[in-house]
Amino acid sequence: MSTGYKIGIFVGIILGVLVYFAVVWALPVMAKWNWMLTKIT
Amino acid sequence: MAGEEKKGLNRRDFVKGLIVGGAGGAIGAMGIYSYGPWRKSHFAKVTPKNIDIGECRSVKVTNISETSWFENKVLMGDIKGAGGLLVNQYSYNWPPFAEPKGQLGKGSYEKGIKEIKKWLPHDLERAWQFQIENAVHPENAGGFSCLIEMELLDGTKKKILQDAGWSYNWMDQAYRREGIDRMLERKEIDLFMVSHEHFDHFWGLPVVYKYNPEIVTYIPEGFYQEGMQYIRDSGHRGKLVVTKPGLTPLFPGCALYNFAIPIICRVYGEQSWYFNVKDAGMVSVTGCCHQGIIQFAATAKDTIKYKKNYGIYGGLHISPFEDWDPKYDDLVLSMRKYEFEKVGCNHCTGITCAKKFIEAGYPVIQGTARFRSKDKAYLGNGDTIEFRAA
Repeated sequence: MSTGYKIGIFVGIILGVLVYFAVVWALPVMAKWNWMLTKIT
Repeated sequence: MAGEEKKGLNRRDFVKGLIVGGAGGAIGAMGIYSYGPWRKSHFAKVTPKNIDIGECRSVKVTNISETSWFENKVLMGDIKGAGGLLVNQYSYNWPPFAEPKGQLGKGSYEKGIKEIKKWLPHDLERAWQFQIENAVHPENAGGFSCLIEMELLDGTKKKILQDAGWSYNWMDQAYRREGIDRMLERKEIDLFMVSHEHFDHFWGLPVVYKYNPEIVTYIPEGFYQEGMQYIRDSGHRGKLVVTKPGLTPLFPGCALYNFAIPIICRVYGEQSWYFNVKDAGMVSVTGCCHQGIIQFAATAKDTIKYKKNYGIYGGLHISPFEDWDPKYDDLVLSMRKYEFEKVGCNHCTGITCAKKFIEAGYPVIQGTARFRSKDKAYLGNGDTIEFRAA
């Protein structure tokens, strides 16, 4: 396993966790936007 | 490129690692999130209502009939043949709504009731003979019904008949076997409750009204036009109470709860009982529990003021057709959290599920497998269960 691959996995895990929790956090926020959009339109 | 390889940093390898690591990180985060405390932060906050329904001394349930049908294969074959689980139950040409030479899935309430209305509720033998000659699989019809006897703290006793079963012949025999016919005639039964509109809990209705047409009848809101008309056509002349979704306290320590839910075979709404037994705890009694055992137990916790769960009785709707799925194992496991001390199950719980409960160490009260009930693993026809403080 090359050093590039190892570093890639390390960075990937951090990004994967961050992106997942960002989505989980964003879903209720997006649901609120959707509610606001239905009120506006 | 050659320079990068010498340092051990290959861009292609890095990207490959990034993809593998990213996927692994996201999947791992899903796992941590799903089983961690953060997941619950998105749930709606439920403040327990703590409604005080009072207390009663004891509750005894006599299982009049839990054998709603006798062969799963025949019942499922009919349902599939008629078009599936969402098809209107009155169109099956099942008894007692068969038209002459009724064909599966081609009937209707109007065509069926026209043939038997003249015999309801006084001549049910003739009405059922017509079904034997014309309906789809009349021999498979049984029914669910039970008698609930509760004692209030002042010693007053109340009798409640829950559900009317399905087959006129089977239910009449079962009522006579348990002395329900005489109790109805002498007006000893305080009220009659229909848990939901399903054929096996509701279509035996004229058998009840044959013995007492004036009995106060409780049904959950959501009955279809055919069901409402059937109550009139069955000869009911007493008060009809339609319960609204939510809690309806009836006697001290006794309340009905209407769960507004869609159910298979085009039925809507099911109601069940909560009894708060003094020094014992909450006893939940149900017909078919289409709301699910978790919602049934959780609703008591979120709605009523009581100390702890004590018992549960009825069809718990886990494996009604004796099939099994890993998700049913989750239900079996999750029931432990509610700490029931007495479990009286039968009917649509399924024998397979009752055996799983026993394996899991739950306090299942076993039966005697009489009167065509198939197994001693659960409370069968003619068996009783009592809930009171030791």
